[in-house]
Amino acid sequence: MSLARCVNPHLQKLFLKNSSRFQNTFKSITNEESCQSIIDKLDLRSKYPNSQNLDIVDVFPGYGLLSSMINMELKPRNHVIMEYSKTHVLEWTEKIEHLKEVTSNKENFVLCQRDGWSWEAYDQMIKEDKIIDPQIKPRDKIHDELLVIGNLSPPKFGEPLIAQWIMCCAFGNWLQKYGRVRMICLVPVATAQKFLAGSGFFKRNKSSVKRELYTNAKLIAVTEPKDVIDSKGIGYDPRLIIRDQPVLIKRENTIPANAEFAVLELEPKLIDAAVVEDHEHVLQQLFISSSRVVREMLTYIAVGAEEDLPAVLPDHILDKQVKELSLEDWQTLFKSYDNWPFKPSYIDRLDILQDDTRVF
Amino acid sequence: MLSRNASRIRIVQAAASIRICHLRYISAITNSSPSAGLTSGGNFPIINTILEDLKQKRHEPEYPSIHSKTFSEINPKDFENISDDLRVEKAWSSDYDPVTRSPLAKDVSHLSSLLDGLLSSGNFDRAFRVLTSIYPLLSNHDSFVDSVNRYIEQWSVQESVSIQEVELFLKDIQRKYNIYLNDRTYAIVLSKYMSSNGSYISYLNKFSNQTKQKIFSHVEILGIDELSRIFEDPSITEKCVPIDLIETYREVNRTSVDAEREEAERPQYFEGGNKEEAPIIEKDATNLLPVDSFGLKVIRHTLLGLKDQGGSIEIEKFLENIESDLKTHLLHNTSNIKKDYFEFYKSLKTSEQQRAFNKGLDLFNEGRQRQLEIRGVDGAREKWKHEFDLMQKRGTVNLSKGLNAQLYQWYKDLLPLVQAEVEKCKLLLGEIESDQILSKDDIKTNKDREHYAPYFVLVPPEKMCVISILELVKLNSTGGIVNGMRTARALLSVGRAIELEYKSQSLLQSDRKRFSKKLKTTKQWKQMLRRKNPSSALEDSEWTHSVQAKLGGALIRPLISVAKVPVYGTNPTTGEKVTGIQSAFHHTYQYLNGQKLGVLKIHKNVSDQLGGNKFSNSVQPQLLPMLVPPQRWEGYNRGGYLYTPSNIVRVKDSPETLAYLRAASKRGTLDDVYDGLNVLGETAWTVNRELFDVISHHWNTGEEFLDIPPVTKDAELPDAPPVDAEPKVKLDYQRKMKVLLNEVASIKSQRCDMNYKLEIARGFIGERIFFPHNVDFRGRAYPISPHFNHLGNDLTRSLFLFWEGKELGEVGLRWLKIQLANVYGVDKAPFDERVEFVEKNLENVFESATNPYKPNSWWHKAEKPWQALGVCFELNKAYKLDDPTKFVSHIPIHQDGTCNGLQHYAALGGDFEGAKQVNLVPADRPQDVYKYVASLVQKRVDEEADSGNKYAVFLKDKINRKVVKQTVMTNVYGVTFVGASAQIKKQIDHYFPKDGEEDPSEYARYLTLHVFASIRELFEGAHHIQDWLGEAAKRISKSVRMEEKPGDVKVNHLSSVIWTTPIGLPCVQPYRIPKTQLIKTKLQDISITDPLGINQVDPRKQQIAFPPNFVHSLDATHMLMTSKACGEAGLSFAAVHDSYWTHARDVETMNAEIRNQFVKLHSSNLVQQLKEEFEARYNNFLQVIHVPVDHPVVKEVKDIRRSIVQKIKRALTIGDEIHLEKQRRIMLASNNPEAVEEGKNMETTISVTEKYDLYSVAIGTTGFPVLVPLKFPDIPERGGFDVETVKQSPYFFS
Repeated sequence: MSLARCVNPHLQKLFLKNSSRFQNTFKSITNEESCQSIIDKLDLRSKYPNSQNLDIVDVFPGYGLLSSMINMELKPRNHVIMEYSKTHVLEWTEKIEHLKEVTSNKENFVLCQRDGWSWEAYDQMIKEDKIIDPQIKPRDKIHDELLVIGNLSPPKFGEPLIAQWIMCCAFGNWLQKYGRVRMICLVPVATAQKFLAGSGFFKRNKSSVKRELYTNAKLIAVTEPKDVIDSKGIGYDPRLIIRDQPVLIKRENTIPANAEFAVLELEPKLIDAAVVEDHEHVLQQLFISSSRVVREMLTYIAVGAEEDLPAVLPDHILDKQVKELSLEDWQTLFKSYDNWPFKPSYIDRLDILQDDTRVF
Repeated sequence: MLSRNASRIRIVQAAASIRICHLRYISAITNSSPSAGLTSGGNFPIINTILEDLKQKRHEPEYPSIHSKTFSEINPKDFENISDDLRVEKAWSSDYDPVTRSPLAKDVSHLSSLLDGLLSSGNFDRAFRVLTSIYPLLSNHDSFVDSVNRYIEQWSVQESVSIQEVELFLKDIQRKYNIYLNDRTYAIVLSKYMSSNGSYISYLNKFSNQTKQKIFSHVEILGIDELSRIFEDPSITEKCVPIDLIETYREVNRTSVDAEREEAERPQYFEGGNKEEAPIIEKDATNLLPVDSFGLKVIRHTLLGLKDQGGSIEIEKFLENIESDLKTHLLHNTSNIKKDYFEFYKSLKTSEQQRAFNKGLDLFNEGRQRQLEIRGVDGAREKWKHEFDLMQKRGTVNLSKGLNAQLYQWYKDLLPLVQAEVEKCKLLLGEIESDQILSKDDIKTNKDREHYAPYFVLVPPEKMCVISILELVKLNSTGGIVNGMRTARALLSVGRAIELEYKSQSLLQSDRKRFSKKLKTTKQWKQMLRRKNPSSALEDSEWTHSVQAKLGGALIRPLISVAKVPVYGTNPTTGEKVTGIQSAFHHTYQYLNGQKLGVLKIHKNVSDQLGGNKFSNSVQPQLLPMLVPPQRWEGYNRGGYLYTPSNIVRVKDSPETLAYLRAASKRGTLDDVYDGLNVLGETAWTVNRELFDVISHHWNTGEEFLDIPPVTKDAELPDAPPVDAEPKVKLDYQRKMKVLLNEVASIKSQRCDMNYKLEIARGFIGERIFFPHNVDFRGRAYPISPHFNHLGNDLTRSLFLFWEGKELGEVGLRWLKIQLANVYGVDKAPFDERVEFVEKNLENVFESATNPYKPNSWWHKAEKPWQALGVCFELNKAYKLDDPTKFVSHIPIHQDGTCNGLQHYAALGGDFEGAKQVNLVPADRPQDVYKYVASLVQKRVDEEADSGNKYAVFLKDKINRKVVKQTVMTNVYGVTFVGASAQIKKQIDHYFPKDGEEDPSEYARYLTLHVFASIRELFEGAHHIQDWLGEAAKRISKSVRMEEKPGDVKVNHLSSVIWTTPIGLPCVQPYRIPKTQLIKTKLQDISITDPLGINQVDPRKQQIAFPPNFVHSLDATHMLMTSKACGEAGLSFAAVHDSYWTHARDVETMNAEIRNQFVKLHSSNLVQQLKEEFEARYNNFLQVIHVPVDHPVVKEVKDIRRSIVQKIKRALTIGDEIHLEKQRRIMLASNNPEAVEEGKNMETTISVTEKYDLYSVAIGTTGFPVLVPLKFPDIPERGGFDVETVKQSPYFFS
């Protein structure tokens, strides 16, 4: 008998079926207790007290045990399953059909057969399919009627997608246009390690700065590392492990077996979207080399930056390695940049590969 | 010499290997070991020993890495223990060719260039260490003498070195290294004897007459003055003198009668010391200046001689003008004062006058050409300075007023930094002593400095500064970078430019001795001037990429720090205008297609200047058109420019091609190639001033006109979407912006490019110019001068006129009209109709010529408007004469092949219908192969439409010439199915609504199938040949040489496809899988390919590229043969691949030659010859093929493998299998009958395959892999077309 509180008994049988039918690039948790620990850690119920008004957009849930248990926990008004691949669509059709029979689908699962990778899919789901009708909520607090769950575990597109979702937090577009929408995501281990790295950690890169600038993120769960050495914390920023105390998912409790991924919770911060694009350029150029000091790297921002910016930046920032910069340091840097008369225009920053017409 | 030695080594090796086998064989017999043959039961001692050998593990000799060592790390002792194995030269692609490479080539090259540099900067101690380090690396120790010669040549000229020391040194070297000295050594010693007043005659008399001849040939060492002294000695008879110095010898010893005669020929003012008549051209006269003044004297003399025929005042004035002009400008037109030699030349009345003028100009220009090549860099700087001074007088230096002053400012600021760096390098090299204490920074950077220091001190700092600036300006907007360039390219280009400058200097240095004040007659001068420069000394001292890049870094880094431009900005908070100063060059990184790319950006303000509507005078003087005929090609690396070394084949990082050329050059098989190229090089051109005026008028407006791109302002950009726009909207916006900006950037870069061309053209207005040509690896000819040449677009081509004029005559007038029709776009009609077209439009022609600026003029509508205007100008002038046929025409008339690749294919395959369609067969009208193929496609599609095929139904009324044209054209050049269907999709795309249901790609694919099939149907024989070429290349590129060592588990595919063109040019496909190396420079680390690495071939490229390359090598051969023939017929001849040009009146002579040479080329079976060449070259090669697992050979191979494994007690590798087969073949070829017998009995995994035709059963890669001897398929049958009929075909080239 499972100790997990949120298990949907009507789906249990279906989850016990051979899981090999699922696409292996999408990793999933197969263990109810692990999922329960994650849900407890997320403390979702307190975050969505009025869940009768809650819409969940669940992108690529795949096998979906965690999704089904969150559903049980929150009992949302709508739980949109966004799936595109044939096998997954089949699986979920079967699940929902079954629920219709046994519970009249009081779980409120709706299958939306659209590609979560495509930006248009979301507007189409809302405006054309009219599956949900989210309300725009003020940005001073987290949206309490919309939740995004995403299984972004395939490394090939998971990393770029989470990076873009974070940018959507900053710009306030995509689903984030309805307010600051919380996201629970399964991501590749390497992505989690990079994106959650704090300042000074050797994996600190521009994505981790952006994550820190635009979201509050928590490491909710990690899979048991393959390598013992990794368990010493070399993979993740150790400060993160200590702070977040993530749930450990056992190696045998994943499909495919021994899969590696992490579960993150991301809450968009309240920020001024107008300057985000300018700052993106500064970040990209400084992170050309993360281990060199800011003073040396300023030149790569634009012509003249090396000469002009040091005058308006404190030495403690100039002498830090790029990866050592804290959030506050970045803010200072951006401020100086914003006030710089020779800051390059959008066109100057756009890297294009021009057709080569000159022959030598 | 080298190659013979290498093959000798190989033979010795093979013999040694047999000997070892035999010894073991004897010991095997005496030890009477149990039998263990490969074939059961027999007693095969040699085989047993071979197998026993296989059991042993082998140690690869250690490879000392020398090429990355700096001069201070090189210690001769380190290299003493290099094993012989390491030194042995290996064949590049095949043992058949005497073309080998040393495994240590990279190291030798590094040491050679280091030796060269250290010697030039007078570092003899260090140079000596390098010299002695070279010795152990050489596979052929005989060649060591070349390095020794280089050493003593520089060392012995030191005044502090006595002749005794030189002799002693050589004695030591000989004793220690056991080498033979050669005639060059003797010449150096002789020169030393003379300069130190030694008894040179007694030294000389030790040698035979033959050796003396060889010694005297080294004029660049001995010098003409020293030779004259030697020739005065009675003991030196004519027999000792090489043929081209006989004249000089005779002059030295001439009889009084000769002297008198010559005296009479020579006007008084040719006497030395007559200062008054010799115009002083520049105050800081160098050794070369007398040439100029002498030349000018000659012109003066010849022209003044024509006094009686009138025009003497004009002549006087003209001469005065040139003289005064020469004082300031070498290429006078850059000063905006136009001196026009061409106009003057045309005004001369008789051909005698013209000949005389040409002769004078020849001599005069010799000197100017030298100046152009050698002092061009200084000239650029002077131009900058001139503008700078002017601006300073007026107030401030302002970028917007002109770039030149700005360039000068950078130069001035850069110079002290470079000078300081040179000092540090000299200090490091121990050249200067200083008590100056090095800063911490200097000590830190010294390690890095060691890599480039020996090279940094070779070129004067002033020149290095100018070169660096010019190179970077030249590279603006290249490599896909807007307003900038890739850093790697910048670094290498600057480094390479410094290397070129150094080499030019060295050539000049060795040239100096050839000039002498004592030379008095024109003839002598000419002889001396035209004497080729032996550039062999520079052959193997190419600077490595690493050196080039590091040098580039050491120059660009300081340039970035000093080159500034003023900028204006706005303070975002206060809105105040702010001025500032920013770097003109900015090193940064861009992300392109997800890759981080180091780039060097040029400040937008500077870049705008480069593409603006003012000429910027920033032309890089290297590789400009020449003022004198190029040096004739006489060796693979001898010819072209006077002081700029160039190879006859342009290659990039392909040392194999060079090795093959060197071998061919030594064998003397390249004469026909030289001859063809020399004709192209000797064609004299001039710039069409009338056209230039029209072009520059439109250029200066800054507006778009025909193909002149407009001055670009910043693109008008759509408003950016709001920050919270949907991600897709943002993405689309970004994409749109990129397209837009790309368009603007591309227009800007086109304008930059055109600016460069026009600037050069302007400099050469009125000049007589020449283009040295070389070929690509397939033999296709190109002018070496890269920017301004007749290969360009319509606009560029229109700027070219032949210097020589020829009266039209009836025939010429007709061809002039045909030319106009052709460039106007009326080129598909019979000749008479073309002539008729022009005659009907004569009024338009005249109007175009008289009012070229009129809007919507008739000439604007031509297909090639600029060239059309050029013809209009000539026709207009001709018809102003009473008899237009008397007009002297300068315009080149073009005769173009019809789809030239297909013409060659049709001739190869003997396809009658195909031949007809590409005009190989006489016809009343020119045939249009595209139209014909379209009709074939139509037929096929119609049939399928009848049976209801949906694609066919849709497409059947949409097929025309245009749809198939590109695919037919590129079919010869190996367009793939995917590529072709992309071409066709472009043509049919507009029939499909955007976002429609139907996918146009499917339709394109359908149509492509039919286009391919139709071409195949028309050129059936040709296609079988194309297939054969592809298959042969596939087998070669997958072949394995018998070189794999026992134990090797992987095979290497090391052989390129190599063939020889009918005129003897070896073509080596340069496609190998590149190895990259990381080079650290002061700017950034760059990763570039390592040309000297031993790389496997790229089989895919080798295969795909071979059929088109082979056909290109044939069209190139045809061109060179025609060029030679036209040259022999006295024609001015030029060619752009399959477009051949000459004077209007000579078109018919050229046409006859085009046809004769084509017939001559195709009269032998070229494919059969190719097959025979392949069979010889790739003889004894193996190939892995896959056969069905149930084929009987599989069991046999497996059995043999098993039996060997049992004996050697380890897994059998492919290397073992090849090794065993090699041993078997050695035995079979042995002199020892027992060994032969045993060889016959030996069976290997390869020998058992010989009895089957396994190629016929080979399957993909799924079967069982077996090694088989490489064989080529039989060549396909030819169709019945007789190539002779081409001679009667009027539209073959038309």
